[in-house]
Amino acid sequence: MNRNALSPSSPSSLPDERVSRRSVLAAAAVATVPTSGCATRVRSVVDDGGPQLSLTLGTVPTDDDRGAIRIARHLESTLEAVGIDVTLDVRQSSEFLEAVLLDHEFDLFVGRYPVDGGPDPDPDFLYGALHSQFATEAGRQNPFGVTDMALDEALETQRRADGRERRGAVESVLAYVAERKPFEPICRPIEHRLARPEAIDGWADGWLGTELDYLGLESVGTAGDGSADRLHALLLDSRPSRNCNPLSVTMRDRDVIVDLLYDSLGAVERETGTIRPWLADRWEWESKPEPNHDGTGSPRRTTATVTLREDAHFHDGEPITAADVAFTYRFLADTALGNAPVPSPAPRYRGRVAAVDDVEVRSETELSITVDAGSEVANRIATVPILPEHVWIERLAEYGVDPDRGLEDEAENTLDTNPGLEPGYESEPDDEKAAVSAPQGRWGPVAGDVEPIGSGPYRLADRSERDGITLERYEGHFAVPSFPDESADRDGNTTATIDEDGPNDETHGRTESDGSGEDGAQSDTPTASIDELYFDIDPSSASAIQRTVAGDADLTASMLEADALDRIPAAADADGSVRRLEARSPTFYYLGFNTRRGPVGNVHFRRAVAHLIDKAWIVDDVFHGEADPIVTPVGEEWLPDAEPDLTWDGTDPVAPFPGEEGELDVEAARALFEDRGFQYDEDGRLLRRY
Amino acid sequence: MFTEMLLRVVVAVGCLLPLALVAFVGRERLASLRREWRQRLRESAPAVAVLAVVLVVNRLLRSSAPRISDEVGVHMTSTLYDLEGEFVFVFQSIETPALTAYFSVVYVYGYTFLLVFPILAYVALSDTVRLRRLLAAYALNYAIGLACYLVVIALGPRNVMPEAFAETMLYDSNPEYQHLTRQVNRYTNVFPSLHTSLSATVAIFAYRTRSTYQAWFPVAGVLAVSVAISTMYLGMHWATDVVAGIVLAAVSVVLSVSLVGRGWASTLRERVGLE
Repeated sequence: MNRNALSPSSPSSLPDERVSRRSVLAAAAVATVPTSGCATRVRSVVDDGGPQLSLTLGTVPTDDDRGAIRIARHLESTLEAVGIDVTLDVRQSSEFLEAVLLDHEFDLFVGRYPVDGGPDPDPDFLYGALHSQFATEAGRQNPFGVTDMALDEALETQRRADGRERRGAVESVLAYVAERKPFEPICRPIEHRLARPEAIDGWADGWLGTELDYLGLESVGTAGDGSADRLHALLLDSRPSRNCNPLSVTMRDRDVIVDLLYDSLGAVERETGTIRPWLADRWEWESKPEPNHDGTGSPRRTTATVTLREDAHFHDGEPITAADVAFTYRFLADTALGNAPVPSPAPRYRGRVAAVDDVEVRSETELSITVDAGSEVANRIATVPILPEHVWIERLAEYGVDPDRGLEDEAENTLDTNPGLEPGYESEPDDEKAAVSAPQGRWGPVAGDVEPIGSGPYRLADRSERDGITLERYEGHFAVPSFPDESADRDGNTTATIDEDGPNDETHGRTESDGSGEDGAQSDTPTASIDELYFDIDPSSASAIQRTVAGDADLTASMLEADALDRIPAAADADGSVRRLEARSPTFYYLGFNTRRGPVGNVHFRRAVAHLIDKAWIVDDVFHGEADPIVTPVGEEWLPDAEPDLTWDGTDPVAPFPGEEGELDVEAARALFEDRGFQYDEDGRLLRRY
Repeated sequence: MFTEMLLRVVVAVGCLLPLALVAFVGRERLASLRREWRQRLRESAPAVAVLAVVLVVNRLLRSSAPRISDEVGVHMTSTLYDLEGEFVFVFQSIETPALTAYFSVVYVYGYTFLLVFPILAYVALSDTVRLRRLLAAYALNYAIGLACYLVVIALGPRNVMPEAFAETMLYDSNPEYQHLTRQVNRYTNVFPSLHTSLSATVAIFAYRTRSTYQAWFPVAGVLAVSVAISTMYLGMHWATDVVAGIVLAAVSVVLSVSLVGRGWASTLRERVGLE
């Protein structure tokens, strides 16, 4: 039954040539590994605490992500086959994220990397994932602990430069990932969802992953009878019902519910992949080349002049002001607002927020944001949730935070969003009574549950822990059909800003504005047409499919696991009672290396380990073809044209798997380690010293 | 979905119980039951109350238990996996569709029947001490089991080695069952196996009452062993959980026998009641 069975379980599959004494012993030692785990256990008990190289491998259980645990099991067996002692540690998602992102506890970890937005994400997310400045932090940023000056430079250049120069920098980053392996991308799944066309309509393509996609949905059939429209969606992750804090890094990966509850200045538009003004009525981005400190390259700074919608309100009725926006960026940069001995940046959105240099409030609804980034990626800072200052200040006060404290050394509305890099900021609070202990990512304001008061098109109506979460349309939102026609407002604004727009020269970089007042502007704001979104927590993909097919539910909101897809009855497909939504995911499965720990810090070791994953077999056997094997974490359009070759062509060009059909050629695999200077003892165990 | 599943189990077990009562308990005792059930229940009220309290506490803890576990719990999945590895694959080697169907039915319906039937069977006895001991043993099983769940955070084999349970994972073939079980239990509650411990408890009591209910003991025995094996066959539990479940059952029976029907309360009852 063990479909992971490896070649060494049948010694005959070992190659006959080059039979040395060591390889025979090694083969004998591993021959027992895969089929009977008991043998390995016994061996590790007998182990004198001696020199065998041992690793912890963390992942999540079948119920949370069958793909991840199966990849981890595959890797466990191949690692053991090459003589490494592996401890597989399976933890439920929130605990797994705590161990990986906050405690940096595992040596290796397998998961699905969450990437926001549509199917073609911008590679700038790698800045947060890999930049050295985050290596000592706790949170989604740089969980690998990778530090490399050349990589930092490439990450910064891709952030600041545009066009071909940026492309080149992205290629360097991708080459770095492929060669030095801070993590190993494995495959990009196809996201499958199931919907009942008789109940809902309005998805443009197979993608249902962002706020705007939900706004596009429409109820079918129920309209007209006076009853409220209600979407009954099945969710396979119970965490949103337990914690609605948008900053909790252990409680969410991608989370469309938080996106629906909390609006941001901009929203990702599915079709174009661009970010459109959302809470911002309009914005103008102006890029200026600025000389680098060493005079090379053309790094840029981009300043956005943002005008907020005047008709936007938080769910408690308070208007959204420029001060709330400024507070949000200040708070995300240091959630202790200068009250802690060291800054405590938010454990989510860190990579984006780090680009913010300066925020200046100009009026109630106007502010300028200066971003240390070129025009191509600068507006990514507009995708963080805007938080109500009055609510969070009150909440922070409960933790002893005095909001005015961190502003002492700074100009009134200016803030330093990159405190970690500037020594001046880290000055100790002068009176210790105000000092707050705010461990990054773990302390109450960012980790604990909150009553979610955002400004999104839906607000929280009800939730029942582990059972369900109900969102109701927020009638005060501008994307609601009943919302008072704002065109009068907008016309007024438009005439007022023509003068500002006029002289704006666009020679340096692109200027983008929302074109309010143009005919198309109104009609292309998606509207929230469904009154109520009920996310019903369901325990498994199989059950979610069964219920949707039976008409118990309208939609599966979560991505369905590939294993369960064959449970969709052919008849239901044929008669059109259910529709499959399919799209390539921006997320990808990966093996993470915690380079802070022991042998994993050795690049040669990581490179050898990367060979031990049979991506082709995983795609075939684990995902039933519903995934693409990948070499790099971004889409093909970013791959280098020339060297290095990072294109998947039936095999991994950088770290091909020695073996086939998931079965490892143990001899060849062990040679990968030996060639890199690793040694085996006479029992075939890989030695720790190297 | 949950209500539907509950109804299904209630109907199935409800159909089976009258047949079993007639077969194992006999018409005579059932007739006496009609006259004396009030009296007997009154006598057993304390044991019923204790069990009820334990079950209510379990229900109330459902939402806060994870938070308590966060504080005091220890992650033990890798320890269990390290200890026994792929031992439960032994049961996979005998996998057939018929066996899978059998164990699935045993796991859900057989188990429920196994727990409910002896309560009725012992109510049918004029001496209520067996009933009171059984109820006390249930309560002890739950109380000790729940305490373990708070401390031990561990996932079952199906959550660690899904590839091995591709054919036998109950929730894959019958996803609706998960709606039922998740109301009772969370997937990190595997050590010890309460399925095993409660079934073993029933089997031990069946052994102790074999002179009264001769035919019941072999049936209870076979069912209890089937339930224990089903937990491993279906990938719900590790062998360690099952062993711990058996130990828990033994402890619960010993405790309930020494606590119930021996203390001052029963002495008093004997003096007053059996004048």
